[in-house]
Amino acid sequence: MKASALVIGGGPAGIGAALELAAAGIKVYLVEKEGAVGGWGARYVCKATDKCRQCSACLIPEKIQEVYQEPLVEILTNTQVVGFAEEAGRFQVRLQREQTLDPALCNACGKCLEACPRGAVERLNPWAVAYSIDKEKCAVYAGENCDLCARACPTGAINFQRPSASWDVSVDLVVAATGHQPFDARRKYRLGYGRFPRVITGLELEEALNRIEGIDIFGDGWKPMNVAFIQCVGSRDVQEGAEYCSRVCCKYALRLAGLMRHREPQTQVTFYYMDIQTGGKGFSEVYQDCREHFAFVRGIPAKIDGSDPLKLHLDGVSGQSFTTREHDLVVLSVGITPSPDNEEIARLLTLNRDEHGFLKGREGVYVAGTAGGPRDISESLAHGMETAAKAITKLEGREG
Amino acid sequence: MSVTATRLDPKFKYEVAAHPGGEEIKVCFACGVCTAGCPVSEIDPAYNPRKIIRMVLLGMREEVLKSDLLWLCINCYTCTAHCPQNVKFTNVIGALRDMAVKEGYVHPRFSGDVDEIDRFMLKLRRDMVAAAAKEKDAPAKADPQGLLDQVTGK
Repeated sequence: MKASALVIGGGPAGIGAALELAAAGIKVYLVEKEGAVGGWGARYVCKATDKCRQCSACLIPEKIQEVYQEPLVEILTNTQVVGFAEEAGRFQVRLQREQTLDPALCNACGKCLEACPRGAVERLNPWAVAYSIDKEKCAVYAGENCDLCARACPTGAINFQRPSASWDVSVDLVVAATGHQPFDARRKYRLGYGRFPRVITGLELEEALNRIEGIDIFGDGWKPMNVAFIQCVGSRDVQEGAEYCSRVCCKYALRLAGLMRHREPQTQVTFYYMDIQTGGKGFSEVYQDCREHFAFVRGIPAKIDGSDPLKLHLDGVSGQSFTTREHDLVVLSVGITPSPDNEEIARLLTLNRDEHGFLKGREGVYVAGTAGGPRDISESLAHGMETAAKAITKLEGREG
Repeated sequence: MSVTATRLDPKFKYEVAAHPGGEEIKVCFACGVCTAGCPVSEIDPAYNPRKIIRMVLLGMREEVLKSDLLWLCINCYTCTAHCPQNVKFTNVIGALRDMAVKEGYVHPRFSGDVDEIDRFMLKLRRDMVAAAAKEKDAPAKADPQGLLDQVTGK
């Protein structure tokens, strides 16, 4: 089919959609605002213990490889949609590409990483083909004079004088796969995140376990012995405007706990929960296994004291009422919230949002993955493919 | 505590929900964050907001309305601030107290007594903090009993 599509967002849903569209012969512009495709999921750790735990984290590198090898997909990192117009059933889209770091020249040698005193150059995920510059940390974006990374680069990939590029593309359909934002745990003040260093989020634990082999998660030689996971942080919470289950937190938390115990069998784990959502493939089995090895307390702590060890105030230890429990590490199982970009995206593409702020598709502009609501990696990938299939059918109908 | 189905009153929760303050009680999903954050539960674990809600939902009318525990709430609204379902348990307690009075489990006088105790305790607290504050830069830890004796002139 001689047609073209714009896919906004290079996470699992966007990649899934791009691959499916390309398979139908459609030319795809895959636009990613960050310096690498893969999305949040590309930072997650494989949670296999002595056997595969079906967490789907491995799907991401697999699909990244596939999409890079697909000639019909043009991957545009550091790129955003800045203009959008509709004309006779087609979409004229203005793209803008930040070109300080040219991914075509970057060979990921790491010299810029060493040169930057602010840690502003980063590799977004282990499968990123090029480095990225974190504008919030970079001195140049703060208005200072600095070219340490540019001078260190042997290929000339970094050049702060290189202007950003803008150009227009014309497409037959658009898939918005713009993703989500993990819940900001600071909003739960009394749980101490941001105040107590040993209160971390599930996302931070993912990234730490992905970086290291053992469980020395802070890189200082200290190992947690007695870990608490607090579930539903920012999910099923009317006060946070999140009157929905995020569908991923029970799954990642239990698997992360299993991985920690696999790496360090002495690790004790307690889950504080309302009820465990065991949806998804292979999860019941994981849960049964966890029931044998971990403690489950049906009650959400209201408050954590920043003592050492941390002290959790809670109700619900069997047969007791109010009590306190001590743990040396607390992991907050943060949920999925709508991306803060959704308002702007909805305005630009003329989309509606649901009562929580997730995007809703319309004729010719489809919404895939967590942009439309909570989904895990495999669900997002499948949703991207399914959305693309729907779009293809519609397009064929129009042309036929 | 045992629950006997034949003695339960299935209408009780609807009555509480119809009473001003009790509107949200049925949406509780028993996460327990109310009790976990409650300063009264911390000093007396017998006072358990999650359990009181469950008892109402089960229809344990008499056990709830005649319980002395209803009167332990200090109206600080911490449970309400924490509740992910917006149950507003402090208001639920208000509704239950009203019902206890209306249904004759307690004399109307008693509700006023509890209010007076609350005010008395707050004044006492204010005076004790003021007495302790006189030595707030000293390393020695204040002794609450000693402060109490000091402010009550014993």
